[in-house]
Amino acid sequence: MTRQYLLTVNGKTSFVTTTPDRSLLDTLRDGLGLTGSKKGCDEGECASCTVLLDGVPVNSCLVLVGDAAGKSIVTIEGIAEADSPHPLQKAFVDLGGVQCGYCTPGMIVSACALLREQPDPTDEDIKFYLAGNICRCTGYNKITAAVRSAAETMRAAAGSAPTRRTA
Amino acid sequence: MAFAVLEPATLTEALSHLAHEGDAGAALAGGTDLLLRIRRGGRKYRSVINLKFVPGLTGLAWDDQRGLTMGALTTFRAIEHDPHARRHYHALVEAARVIAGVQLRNLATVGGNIGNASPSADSVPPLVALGATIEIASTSGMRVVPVESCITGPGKTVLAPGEIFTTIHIPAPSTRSGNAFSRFSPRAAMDIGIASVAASVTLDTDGRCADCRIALGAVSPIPLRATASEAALRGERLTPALADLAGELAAAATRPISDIRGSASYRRAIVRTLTTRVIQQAAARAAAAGAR
Repeated sequence: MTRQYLLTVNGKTSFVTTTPDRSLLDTLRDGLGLTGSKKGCDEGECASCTVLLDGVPVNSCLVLVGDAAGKSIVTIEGIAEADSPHPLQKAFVDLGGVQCGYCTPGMIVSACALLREQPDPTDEDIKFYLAGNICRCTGYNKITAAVRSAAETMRAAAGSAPTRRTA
Repeated sequence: MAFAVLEPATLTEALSHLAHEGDAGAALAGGTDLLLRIRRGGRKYRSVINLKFVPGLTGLAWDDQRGLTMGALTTFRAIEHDPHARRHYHALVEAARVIAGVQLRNLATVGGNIGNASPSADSVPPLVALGATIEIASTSGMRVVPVESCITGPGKTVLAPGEIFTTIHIPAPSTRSGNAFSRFSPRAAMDIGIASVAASVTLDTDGRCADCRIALGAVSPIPLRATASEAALRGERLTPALADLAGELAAAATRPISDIRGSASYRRAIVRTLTTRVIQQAAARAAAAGAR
């Protein structure tokens, strides 16, 4: 039996009609046409489906649609500002943090949550926070470098103090 | 998947759904184990009783006398960030930090980890070592069980149909006590432990071990207390030789399986080393706490 759910995705609220046993991921992709969140494993192992639910990153494949109703949902489609890419998106492209691209939406959404919690993360902080995001192409070093670089860009834009580390 | 989702708004309503649905219903906490099991076709349920909207089942509360009380649906990420857990229960926080990745830890709950009853459940050895108890509710009332005795086999718990875990309680640590956890897995994240050890050590004023609890994970079908190791330490000064002996005694008490992750003898070797290290770390923390 289908139900109506009121979902607020990337600031836009709309009704979606679906069955309550559906995942948030399937609802986003098939119901709302937001295919940026990827369905890699559908069992919480790869995190390519990461979205922010009330600001915290979760595997949307393991969230029932009803659990997301009434909450703020941010997908990769809601990360960029207006027509310009988010500093994380730009850094991933510039520094080779993207190869096949399948893990990239999840990486960027997760990194976005990291930089909100820790605007100046160490490499260890980045690796710890992104440990659930699996990438089979890059070897991770370029992803870590891209997150570090985006963090610098964002801190500079926010007018904060210069980098405290040299490494 | 095809199941109905019931969304009780109160505990009373949740318990009445559970009683009514019986075996055809499943209690849903974080969903990171249950939804997978259903999706893989392992188990079919007519309905899933989603506990996420029941007030009082999440959150942590600290009291200097009573210790830490947390709802069964408290996520591992919340435990990881809780200032009181970080100060008093290193073992639990160290276990929370190695569970899967951040995204999973924002969903997965401590009650779910216990209820899933995997022999490798990371939160169980710390809760056993810390002497935690768990409150169980049903329409016929409430009972309290030590976490140590609430897992009865792989995937099996003391929960009767219609019962759910509601609250976990960890006693306040005594003075001059410390605790620690360590897990070995080939990968640092998104992996399942080959063996894990949690220990809580209390020292007397002379620096001897007044009391200790040691719990082992992934080396037997149910959570295992290393009672012979504990007995060897009580009343003694924790020398490296004694810590080594405690490791040996712990390894001898295990009943590990051989599987794709490691052979039984490998698990035994790992748990021996982990035990020696973890009790030394717990004792060092106890000594530091005594010096404060």
